[in-house]
Amino acid sequence: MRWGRTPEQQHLVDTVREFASRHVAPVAPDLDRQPNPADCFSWAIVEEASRLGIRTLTLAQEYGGAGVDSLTAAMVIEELARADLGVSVIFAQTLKIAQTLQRACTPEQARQFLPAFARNDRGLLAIAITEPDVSSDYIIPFDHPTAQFRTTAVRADGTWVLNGRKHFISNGNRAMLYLVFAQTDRSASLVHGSTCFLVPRETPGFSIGRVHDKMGERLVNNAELVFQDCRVPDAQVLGRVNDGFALLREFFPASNAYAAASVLGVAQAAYERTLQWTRTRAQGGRRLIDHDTTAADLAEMRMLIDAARAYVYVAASEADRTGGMDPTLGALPKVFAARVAWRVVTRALELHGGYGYMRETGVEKLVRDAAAFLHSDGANRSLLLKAARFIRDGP
Amino acid sequence: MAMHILVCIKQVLDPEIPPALFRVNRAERRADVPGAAWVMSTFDANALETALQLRDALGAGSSVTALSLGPREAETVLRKALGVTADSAVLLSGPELGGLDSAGVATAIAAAVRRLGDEGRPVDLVLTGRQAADWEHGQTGGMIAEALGWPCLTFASRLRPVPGGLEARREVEDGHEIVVAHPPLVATITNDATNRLRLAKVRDVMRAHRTPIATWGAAEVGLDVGELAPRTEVVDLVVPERESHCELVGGETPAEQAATLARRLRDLGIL
Repeated sequence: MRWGRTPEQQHLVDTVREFASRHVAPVAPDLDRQPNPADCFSWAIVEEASRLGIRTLTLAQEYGGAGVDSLTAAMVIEELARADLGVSVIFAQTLKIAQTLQRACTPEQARQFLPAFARNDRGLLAIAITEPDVSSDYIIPFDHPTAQFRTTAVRADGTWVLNGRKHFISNGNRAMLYLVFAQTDRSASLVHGSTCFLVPRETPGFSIGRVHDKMGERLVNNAELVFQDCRVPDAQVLGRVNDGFALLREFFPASNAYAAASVLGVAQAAYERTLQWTRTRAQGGRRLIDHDTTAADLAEMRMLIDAARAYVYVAASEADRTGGMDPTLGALPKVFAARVAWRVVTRALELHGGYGYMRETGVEKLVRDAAAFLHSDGANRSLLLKAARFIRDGP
Repeated sequence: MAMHILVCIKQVLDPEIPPALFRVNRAERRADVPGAAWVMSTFDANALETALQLRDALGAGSSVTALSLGPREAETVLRKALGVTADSAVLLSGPELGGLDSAGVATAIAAAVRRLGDEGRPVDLVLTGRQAADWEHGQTGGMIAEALGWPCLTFASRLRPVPGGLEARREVEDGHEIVVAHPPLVATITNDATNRLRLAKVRDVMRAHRTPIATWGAAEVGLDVGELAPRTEVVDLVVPERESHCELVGGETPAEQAATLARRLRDLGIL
């Protein structure tokens, strides 16, 4: 099925597939098994992707990128995840933040940050929102004065001084530039009282904490970020003061679609592996796929994946449409894709029997990977609440 | 020395299709696998990489043209060639160019080479894969050379420019040999650790889809249908039936099993 892809999009997808088969798939299992989470990450993969232009896929051509649209980016993200979810997330984060920067930066900020990002073969990006005490509060979001970021930014000596801690941040210990959300109005909720700051990695007062040891999705590092009297000038406020949420709403429309595309790639990998397995494994005098229940399982897996992909493609296409998009597309595609992926990988595990449980077949890795998106980019239930509000309050 | 290198690329049914899924339409004597991918023939990809490396080694003034003969869909492999920086592409296509045998394909390609020469873009080197990944005849390269009256260098795995010509490493049965050849010539390329097709860069992929592909029919290369008449005929096309038979060798001890096995092999005429 060609999914309505243009020949150019298909060519890009095929190229990324080839890249992943040569540079990701052969090393992913061993990297996944490294006990130290920091050792699960590979700069070699990032640098090769950078050389091919994958890292700067969404960066405008004037800065040396490819300037592709969100739909094409979603296709690439899914293809990367088919080889490894963590690698997909490394680039999904970077691609979406690059889009955000281009839309939200002032001309001066663009000049300051985008060329440096373009020419750095290790140039990754991260967005720092989640805190130990703040997660679904900003996803839903919960507009109450008790829902505030614990990371604060106060004015002092003509600059902003950040103090606080973020955690679970994707690319947290690897990025060259961070979008950091901090509370700037302590009388308001995080919806109306937070601001986004551009914080380069080398900023004094900013340090990397521990790298989290995760169940799956291990080839991307998630880390703590620590701010201790970290000074950021006015020139590095992204968007408006106390209006950081507008940034999320206006300039991150494709975020949910990209997250959905990532976990969809895991589902696709699980389905393909299971199809191959059931076509060759024989029990009960015939191939597994020749047993009706197994065949029906595969048909269901295929149906769910195709439906999730269609949802992703709609959301990604709408993200670039001027005039805004249906706000539920910024919440529900990831929920659906994550649930599809969970169903597909657990069914794949079941159909592989004992072989699926053993590490060498790689099926258990897909289960551990897919589990990440039950919460990543917004816990599913929080996203459902978010969408419910749009449905309740919308036209 | 500058060279214009023509690389012949065939679009074939994905050779990685699991054997259990491969089917043939016996009446029409063709493979029949609905939904299967069509890809660049394996050794043609090696030939393309060899061409690109040679062009880059030769420097300014050299170029690579990718050529394919097939239906409109074969543009896909030409776009792939452009995506890895082939400089131009030509598609030979048309009703009179369908269903050709190796001789017909070679005749058409040789005619295209002549047309390029007439256009002021003479070809110095024609590269083909050593054999196609579908029919595996391994004839087209030699027949192109014959049609053009050029020497043919077969099973070359590496090419590099030397003063006045090209030095080639040829793979032979018990090793390899080094030969020097002088353009114009045809070379068939086999796989090597050095000629795995490079990955395309994103911007080159995008540029590839903005590059026009010249499409020529038989008339455009000065051929009439009679010149393309097949010299071979596929009489039948079947997937061989394979049966596996397993006989367990009896015996209480390894020595008994060995003796039983030896007697069985003798009875079967193997020993």
